[in-house]
Amino acid sequence: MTSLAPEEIETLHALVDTLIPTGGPGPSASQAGVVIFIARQLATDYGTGRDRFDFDVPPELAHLYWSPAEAYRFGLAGLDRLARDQHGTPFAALTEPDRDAIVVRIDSGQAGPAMAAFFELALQNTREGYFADPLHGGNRNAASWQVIGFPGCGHDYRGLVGRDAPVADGLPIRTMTGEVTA
Amino acid sequence: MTTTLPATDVVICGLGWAGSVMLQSLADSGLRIVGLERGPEVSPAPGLEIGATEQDDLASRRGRLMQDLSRETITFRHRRDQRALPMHRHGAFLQGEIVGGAGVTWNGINTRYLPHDFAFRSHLAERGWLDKLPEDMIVEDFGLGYDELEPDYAWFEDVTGTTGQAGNLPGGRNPAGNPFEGPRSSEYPLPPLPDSMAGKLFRKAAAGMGYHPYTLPATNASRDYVTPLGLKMGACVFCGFCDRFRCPVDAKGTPVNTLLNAVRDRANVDIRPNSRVLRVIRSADGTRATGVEYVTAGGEHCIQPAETVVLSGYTFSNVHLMLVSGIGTPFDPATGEGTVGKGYAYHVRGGATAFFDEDVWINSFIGSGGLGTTMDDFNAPDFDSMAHGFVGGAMIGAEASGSRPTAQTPTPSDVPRWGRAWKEAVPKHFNHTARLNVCGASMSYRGNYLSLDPEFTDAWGRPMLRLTFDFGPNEVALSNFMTDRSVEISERMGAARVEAKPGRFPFDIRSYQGSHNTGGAPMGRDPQTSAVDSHSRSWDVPNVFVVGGSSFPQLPGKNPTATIGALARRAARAVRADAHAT
Repeated sequence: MTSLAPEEIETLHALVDTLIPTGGPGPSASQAGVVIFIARQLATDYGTGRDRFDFDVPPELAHLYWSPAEAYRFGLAGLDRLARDQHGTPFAALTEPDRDAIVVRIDSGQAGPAMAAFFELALQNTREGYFADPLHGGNRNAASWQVIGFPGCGHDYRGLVGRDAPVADGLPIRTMTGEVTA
Repeated sequence: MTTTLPATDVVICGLGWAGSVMLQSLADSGLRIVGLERGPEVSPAPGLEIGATEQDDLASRRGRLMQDLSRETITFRHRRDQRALPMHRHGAFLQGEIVGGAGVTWNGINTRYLPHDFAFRSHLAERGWLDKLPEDMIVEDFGLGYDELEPDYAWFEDVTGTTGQAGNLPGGRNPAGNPFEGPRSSEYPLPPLPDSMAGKLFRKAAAGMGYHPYTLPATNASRDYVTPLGLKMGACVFCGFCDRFRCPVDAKGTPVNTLLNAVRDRANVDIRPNSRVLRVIRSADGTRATGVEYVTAGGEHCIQPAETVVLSGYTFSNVHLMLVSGIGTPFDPATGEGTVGKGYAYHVRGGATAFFDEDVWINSFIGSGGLGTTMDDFNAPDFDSMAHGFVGGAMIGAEASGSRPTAQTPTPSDVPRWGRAWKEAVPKHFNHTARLNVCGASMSYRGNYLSLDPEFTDAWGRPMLRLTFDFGPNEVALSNFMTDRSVEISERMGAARVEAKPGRFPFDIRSYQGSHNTGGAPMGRDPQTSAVDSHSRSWDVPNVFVVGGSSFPQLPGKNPTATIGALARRAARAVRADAHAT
């Protein structure tokens, strides 16, 4: 349950780029490495659910207790099913407006609570992959931090507290593994 | 296979704030002390250098340094007629599993309670409000006065390197401090932290509206400091990785760097990490504890005989150990009788988000855990809460604990949560948004309690602790009132757009709201209504002390740690006195 099949990767790629698309400030989710980030996360104890208490979950609540790996297996298949039902193609082959429309349906609960639960997780993980330290495979070159003005970690801000000025502009961006040059 | 170890005088179960205060305070007594902690030891502060820092927000979100929920967790339900299910993910609150406990990863907000908080039932009686309370609400006095605890508060602030500005010293009131605080014997050991940009705007707005803003007392050192115990703290660098993290420069006071490190090498002190206490062992007639059973990380079971047993874990751990060990009478919500599991409470939240124009630089990535500007106007004893339909108060403040974008990318509510519009909105607001937070009092109720789960067991076969909890109408009314005030102050701060951020009702265990879970072993003067006396001593098994947030009868509207530290100092004196009396 830890590795995604090639067609699942394609669907995931289309999903994360629906959530954070190209255009506007900064990279799209996939350009930032979010697909790699999520695939790697699903192989950790977090992804497999080994970090949680295991018990026989009531079937009607199963979607609330899925491990992330289970949620993605269900949710990515569900995205494709919705796309095929409406348009006769996989989710990844849809136009951007058609993908948006399907995600709006899921986000508003019209595709059921299980798909909505999957979507919450996917949105959270996409943001994590976009904004977390590049250490984990996402946020390539800390590009999202450059866009929003977050200097990263390991800084000493003494003397800058309470200053009404664009403080981040004058600082290098530091990650867990080094400084990023724009 | 169980090994019985040589006997000791005192065994301390849990080395967070409560246990570490007890251990340090008893180290000079000549008593032999064993300190057991379920989590591992932590290495010294890592520093800020690339390659050395631990400032990986994702790891913190995944629960690094927190309780391993695959082996031990609680079950939860909102009401007694529901089936409780295991909490399988860290959400509303975080419990440490590490030497130092949640005190390693806390923020450092270190506020004393106000004098009337300790006598809250008496206070409500004086105001003539007792007969206006809901029938199922439980309000009690702590059983000791603020004045009795004041020296212990002062000690805790001194040894933890607390920053702040006194408002009530023997020489008179200082308007730069909190004018509502109780009388203090001394100034804070370190000067207050500077105002963040959000704090400056809050201070000006609140003062202009007739409120009394002050700098939040914080255990984030404002300069290099050598504590009265001879330990060194560095100056806070406002790196913004405070809550959920170890401090890189030892500016944040923790149980490890302010207490345990002072005494861990003493011959009479034996600190054992990776040692999880499973139960307290009692004598055949049940009247005394004879020691504890614990299990090591390697799975070895040990009996540690002891003259005195101190339970000093998180609220849930303390109450769980009492219930599985048969100490005291379990609380029965149907009759209101019994005291163990009674009085559970949890801070109610609320507040506002203040979105500023792009020429106002809030820079909320700059921060330290306790950096904030706050006010006690609504905690003050004269505040007429009943006119607004509730009892209890709250702090409202602009806190700057450090925004990290994995979790904090605020956008106005009319911006979609995803897509191009969201992507364009995030950079417009990240450095231009302030948040006002409410830390609201929570009363206790018959229906909010801790008990043993009839169905689920942990990895060691013990029934899990079951939490039955929801906020009452009193807490909802309090939260809504404080949220409205937060909106007014935010507007006065000059925000271009202000949005209310109400509390979440019913209680949502999935989203973080704060690790202020209290009660379950409430203290008081009457063994019929409380589980421990005002020295944290069990009424039923008097050589067991139950120390920590578990002893609060209800939860005042301020952060609990200072009071936990002070009550632990007081309990340590009682342990010492009891030991010398026998």
